Amino acid sequence: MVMESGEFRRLIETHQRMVFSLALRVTGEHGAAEEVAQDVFLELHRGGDKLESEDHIRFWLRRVTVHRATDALRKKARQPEASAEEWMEEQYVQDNSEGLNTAVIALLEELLRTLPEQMRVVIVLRYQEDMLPDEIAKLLGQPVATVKSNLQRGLQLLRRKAAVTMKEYVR
Amino acid sequence: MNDEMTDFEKQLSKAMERVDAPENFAERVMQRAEVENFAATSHVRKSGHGAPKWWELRSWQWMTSPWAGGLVAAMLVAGVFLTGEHVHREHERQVQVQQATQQFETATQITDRALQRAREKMRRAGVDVDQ
Repeated sequence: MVMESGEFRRLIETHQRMVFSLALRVTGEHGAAEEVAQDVFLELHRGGDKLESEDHIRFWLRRVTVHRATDALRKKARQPEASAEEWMEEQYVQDNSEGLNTAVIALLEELLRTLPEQMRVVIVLRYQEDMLPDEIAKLLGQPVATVKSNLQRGLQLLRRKAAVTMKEYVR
Repeated sequence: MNDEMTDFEKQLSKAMERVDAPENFAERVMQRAEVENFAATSHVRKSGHGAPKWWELRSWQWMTSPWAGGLVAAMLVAGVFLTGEHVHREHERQVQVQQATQQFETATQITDRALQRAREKMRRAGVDVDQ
């Protein structure tokens, strides 16, 4: 049973930033992220009528996006230099209104991409989606302790790398 | 893990704000969904209630079904029977042709002899039959 067209469009428009951003930060590639995001919404279209509430839909979208994006990450033979340029040119042409400049954001994104997959995923869910460790654990089907450990280790690693490249921003 | 965010974490949160999806992303997804819908409905139209008809099966699929052995045996028996029947009919036809040919030759010979006798009678009667 497929979803009604108007309802489907509303869901895309509501959640496309979340789905695309998650896919982009996990895969690290603009093209792969769009492909993943499209596939996730098509999967929602095929079976989304089983989802009962907005919360349920958001939870489902986050979980499926993370799984699809990590699958894409594993499959793809990536070329970091080329995709880093693409990333900086396409995503951060406009400055962040909160005061962090474009270069710092791009560097943080770059550093994020160097983290191991599990650490990267929990950091994206924690700091992009503002999810708590127990929510992340539920989404990923992992023990809370594992999530906390990955989060802490990922953060330490990111901090150490950031300390080398951007001393003035790390306190 | 400490719940309070450090400066670094706050900076990370700001850096990791959601970004916009590419331009016309929603339209592209809607188009793909329409293509999928069309493909799904046309398949249903073709095959009725979803169960494939026998002509929709791949040519080898029927061989794996339990009745395939019986069907093959029946086809072989039918083939043997039809071949025998054909041979028998052909033989009968040839016999009939032979009989007809013999009858025709006999009739021709009888006719020739009758004509010959008639000519001799006329010749004896003084009629010039050669003119």
